[in-house]
Amino acid sequence: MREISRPLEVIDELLEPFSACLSVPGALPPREWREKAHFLRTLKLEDEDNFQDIPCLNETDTWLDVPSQSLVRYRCMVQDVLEPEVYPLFLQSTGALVTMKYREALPTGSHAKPLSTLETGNWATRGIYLCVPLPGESSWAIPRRGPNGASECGPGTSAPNTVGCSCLVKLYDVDEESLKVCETVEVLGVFHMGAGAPRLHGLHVRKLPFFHPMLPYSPRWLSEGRLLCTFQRRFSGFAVRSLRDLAIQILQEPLGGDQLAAEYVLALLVARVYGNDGSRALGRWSLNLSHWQEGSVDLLVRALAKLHPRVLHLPVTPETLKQRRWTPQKDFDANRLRSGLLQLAPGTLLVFDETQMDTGPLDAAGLRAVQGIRGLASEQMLLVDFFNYEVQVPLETPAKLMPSRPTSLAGKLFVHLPRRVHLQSG
Amino acid sequence: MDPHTRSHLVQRVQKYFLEFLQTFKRPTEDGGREDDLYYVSQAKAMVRENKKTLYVKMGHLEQADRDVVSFEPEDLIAVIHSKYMVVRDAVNAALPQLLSNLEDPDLQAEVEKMDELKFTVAFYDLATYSGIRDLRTEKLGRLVTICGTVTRTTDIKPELLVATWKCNECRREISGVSQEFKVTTPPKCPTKNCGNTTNWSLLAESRSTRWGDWQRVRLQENEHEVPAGSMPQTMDVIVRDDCTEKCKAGDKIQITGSLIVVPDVPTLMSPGELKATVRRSLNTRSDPSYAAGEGIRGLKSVGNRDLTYKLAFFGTYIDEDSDWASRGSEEKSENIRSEEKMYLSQVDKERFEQISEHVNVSGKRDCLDLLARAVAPSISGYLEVKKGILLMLVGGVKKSTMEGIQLRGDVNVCLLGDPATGKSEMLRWVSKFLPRAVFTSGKSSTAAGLTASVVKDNDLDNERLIEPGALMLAEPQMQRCWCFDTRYDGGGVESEDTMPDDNGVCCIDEFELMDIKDMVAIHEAMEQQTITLSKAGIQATLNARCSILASVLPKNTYYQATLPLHKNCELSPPIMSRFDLFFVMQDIRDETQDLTVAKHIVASHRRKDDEVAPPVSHLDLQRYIRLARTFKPKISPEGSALLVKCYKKLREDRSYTRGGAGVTVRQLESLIRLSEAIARVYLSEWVRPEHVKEAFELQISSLRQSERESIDLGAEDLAPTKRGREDEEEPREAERKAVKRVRITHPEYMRMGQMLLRHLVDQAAAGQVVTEGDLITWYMEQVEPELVTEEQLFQRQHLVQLVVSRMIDKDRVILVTEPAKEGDPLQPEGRVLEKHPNVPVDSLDRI
Repeated sequence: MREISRPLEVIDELLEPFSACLSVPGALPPREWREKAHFLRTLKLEDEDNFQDIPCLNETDTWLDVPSQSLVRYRCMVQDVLEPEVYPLFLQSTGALVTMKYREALPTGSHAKPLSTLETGNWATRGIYLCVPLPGESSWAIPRRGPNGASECGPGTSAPNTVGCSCLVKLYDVDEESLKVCETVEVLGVFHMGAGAPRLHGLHVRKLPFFHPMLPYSPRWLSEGRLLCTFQRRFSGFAVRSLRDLAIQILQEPLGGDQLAAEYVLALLVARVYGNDGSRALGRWSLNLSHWQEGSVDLLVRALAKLHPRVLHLPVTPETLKQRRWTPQKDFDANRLRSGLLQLAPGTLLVFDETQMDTGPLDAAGLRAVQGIRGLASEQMLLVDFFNYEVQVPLETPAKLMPSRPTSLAGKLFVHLPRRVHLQSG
Repeated sequence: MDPHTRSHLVQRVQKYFLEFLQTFKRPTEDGGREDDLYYVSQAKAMVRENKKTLYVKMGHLEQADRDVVSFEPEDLIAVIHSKYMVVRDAVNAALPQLLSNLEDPDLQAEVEKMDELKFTVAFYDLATYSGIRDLRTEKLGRLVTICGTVTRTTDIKPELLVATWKCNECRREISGVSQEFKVTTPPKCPTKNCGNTTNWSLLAESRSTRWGDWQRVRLQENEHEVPAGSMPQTMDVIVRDDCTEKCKAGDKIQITGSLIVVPDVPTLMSPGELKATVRRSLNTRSDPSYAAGEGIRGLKSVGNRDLTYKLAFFGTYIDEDSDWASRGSEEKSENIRSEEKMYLSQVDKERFEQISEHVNVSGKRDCLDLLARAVAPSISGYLEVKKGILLMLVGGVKKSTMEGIQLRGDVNVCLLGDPATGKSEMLRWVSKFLPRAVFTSGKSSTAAGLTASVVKDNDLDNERLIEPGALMLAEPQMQRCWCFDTRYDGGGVESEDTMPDDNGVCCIDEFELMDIKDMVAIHEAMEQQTITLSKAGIQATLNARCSILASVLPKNTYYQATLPLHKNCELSPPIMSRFDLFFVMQDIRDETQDLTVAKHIVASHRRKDDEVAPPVSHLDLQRYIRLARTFKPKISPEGSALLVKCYKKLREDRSYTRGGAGVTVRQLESLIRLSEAIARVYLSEWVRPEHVKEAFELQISSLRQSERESIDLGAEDLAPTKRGREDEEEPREAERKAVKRVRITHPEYMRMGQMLLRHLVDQAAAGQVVTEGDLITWYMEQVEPELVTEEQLFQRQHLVQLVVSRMIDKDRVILVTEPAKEGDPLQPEGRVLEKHPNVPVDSLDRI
């Protein structure tokens, strides 16, 4: 299908009816010539099931094999919003119109010149986002990989806790400013692999809050009706109950057989923010589990990873607090955001493990880390360090604290289970 | 635009603009014109000061005298606005023309020494401004003003404008080679038979080589303009000559200029390389002029296949942002520093006017209430406190006396309250609401007293916990203590001119725990708004022009209503008198209030947005306050008469006395400040009597709130409504009186009253007649188990007698159906009592 193998050709062809503009001085084609609608219609993307037919960057072992300038999709988290880029919209190439939209460089062999009317009308901006694969994905949630687990992606960089590589996503028109830091999105667009970082020029963006690999649909499409007709057949009331029991059983094991604790953990996994009161998020809470025996936290994390697509285990000790970068930081020299451990996709389960906590002083960085953890765990806010002030990004993540006791890490909302957990020996 | 139209347009703009400069006279208030040719004298002053920039106020173009000039001012303004980069050279060229026409030989000599290419005209005071976020390609080449915070500046670098080259082959000099974006050498040596195309050396010292200064400034969106959840955007600003070194990192500035396009190298690299490249790109020379007019002259010289560009801003006028500044009466010289500005779109203006005209059901203007409700919306109730905070944010008008002593306009507020009454939440809201106040010196405080550590807790099975350092960690808002928005104020001579009013709000939680040294510093900070430091032989004065919002925990953790205000908090009278408003927030178990609070909290958890959502949004409130702050209300004659009256009333009536200090002139000043702030909230130019009245009521309520809660019982109490506190009482005298005068808290009175009333009702239902003596005896029986000593018994008996008499005589909830049989008023025990039929037992608190 040409739409997938050579999308740029299709886009230029769609532009052809406007080539009359070449002969009229000052005339310009419209900024959008229904190219997006064309792709959505031809690829039948109104039905989100059809997205699966398009090659996915997350599922390929090495990006070097993905043909450049082909149509792909990429599921990612927005790590940084860069300054928008300006480009000339239309070029004249031997009697034909060519667009720089969705392009990094001129087509090879063409002698394109920008249209003679270089007044402001021919300039356009595109939004640039640095995107990374979702951090902390459980092994079953990561699509098929090569033998070494990580994919090769040329000179791109990876963010902490992610498997896979980052990509510069460029968005146009209505999508240009639509993304915010930490959002989970799937971008459908033209892939460019050159000397620099891989780039993706987006034709269509799907926001996937609380992305789950079993249900890779946007909330708009995955209506209650669709959910019902898909799952009613598969899950009778009895099946649901036995599934729930199974989940409890899986969680119960590393919790020393404590069923109530397992129920709490399950409740934490399904909790959602349902509203806001001023700056407060309502509906989300954090859970404290204390009195651990050595090593059992790992078991629980493994059990959680079986149930939840994204789980992140973060040991909290004075050393890790001081040495690792927890909250994202603005680097004013490079004018970009340096990611931190806490910059995550919504719905990532955070396990703060305080069982290895030791005595020791904290420095300024450590303190910022503590504040960042607390902001995220108790207020569902990611604090982004802008040197002299903080930018708060709402970020919904269930957090589980594994402390010795309720400490200053937790906010108001925690459930403490005193001496609930009785670990069985052996 | 074809070249012909273009050159025609440029010529006409130059002609008309010159005409404007030569003829403009400022209009006077009575509709006439000043005699002085304003811009001619400005230009002369400019030359005398050896400056090269003439500042032109956009508003003056509108005011141009239609009878004198030969053009339509609106057209000229429209052209300058929409085609700024096209006509910029023409506008600049009008300036040397203006100077050469001046008949002043000294001036001519001066002018000749200057480089005429360097003269620029900078426009300021544009009617609208754009956020950095709004700068998109459609704004290219237009004249716009943007606001933002400077995050980085480069050093000033020389910029080659016109070069003179020497041919290294034949030593011929070639002058007048104009430079485009990159260093441009002549294509070929003009000497016959030389043929050199590559071997050149620059004659940097030559008379005809022209250099300019340029600097790149990175501007970041102001925090309060960033949409929730988004990252602040940045914009590179290029400034030249007179505009360089006008700002440094951390400044909030506004820049007038134009959006241009420059080739963008960094985004072509991989993100990993971005860092190094951007740093490099900040150092590379970039000439904005190449992108002028046509927009893209640089394209042919770039000549590569990658066509990516980025937007930059070419700044021609830089000023400190006056957003939060309320400049006092001192008028700056208009040319350098403009007057107050408030940039608002028409839609916003109308909406805010609507808010200010809002009336309640009874037709009274109540925008104060409306806006106060938007303060800390997650906290229910406390409308008075919220009003106080709103007025603090709005502030009074700053004045200075003839001698140059500053009278502060900032309103200081103190919240004295029990734990868990939302004080901290209020402070936190303020510090979030006003980012400016919060973060300025956070850095220094992290470096200093920050000693958090992980410690072992022996009490808890040796478990480890993070112990917060002194102030920093315990509560999030505490890190913002000491966030005076200070700037080092070196010589102190010209400080007033160069510094904007900082005008932050310093939120101090647990004020009473502050070090005594700092308390003393606060004295100065609160009234004189400076902090004086003597260190290592240097006397420094730091400006601390900020309001203080303090929260204080009562002396005994809970507010004791039986004690006067100043006995409840451990603040010295001088400090207390410096607070304009003092609010007592008590955790009272009050059914109705508990119900509202509980409903509020539950509603916020039930997604009933309309119940929780404030009538005015966060952003609107910010902008409204910004608008309100531009008003400088004057006190109307009626208002001033009422102010005097209110002050006299305050002094006369001892029941309003607060603290040990009583009412001092400071209270009059705070009354004035509060009235001004209220007038500002109503967007009024005058302080009217109704504003004074509202201020007075607020001040009284803040003083009296506590008093309602303590009730004096006793002989004097029979005299009508004498509820005042005896503040200056000698302790001994008080002791002596204690036998006769007893004071109980309001809740306690309620509780006893309820008990007695219920007994009366029960007895009435059983058909029993109750005398006062019976009632008291019954009560004493009930409480007997609580009493241990005989003294307590007597005290309690005395108390209940007083309570019953108060209920009969003052609150009239108990009726005397039959007077005492003996008719002896001194033996009232025989009176037969009955509950007043209109008083339901459960609603005694409505009395």
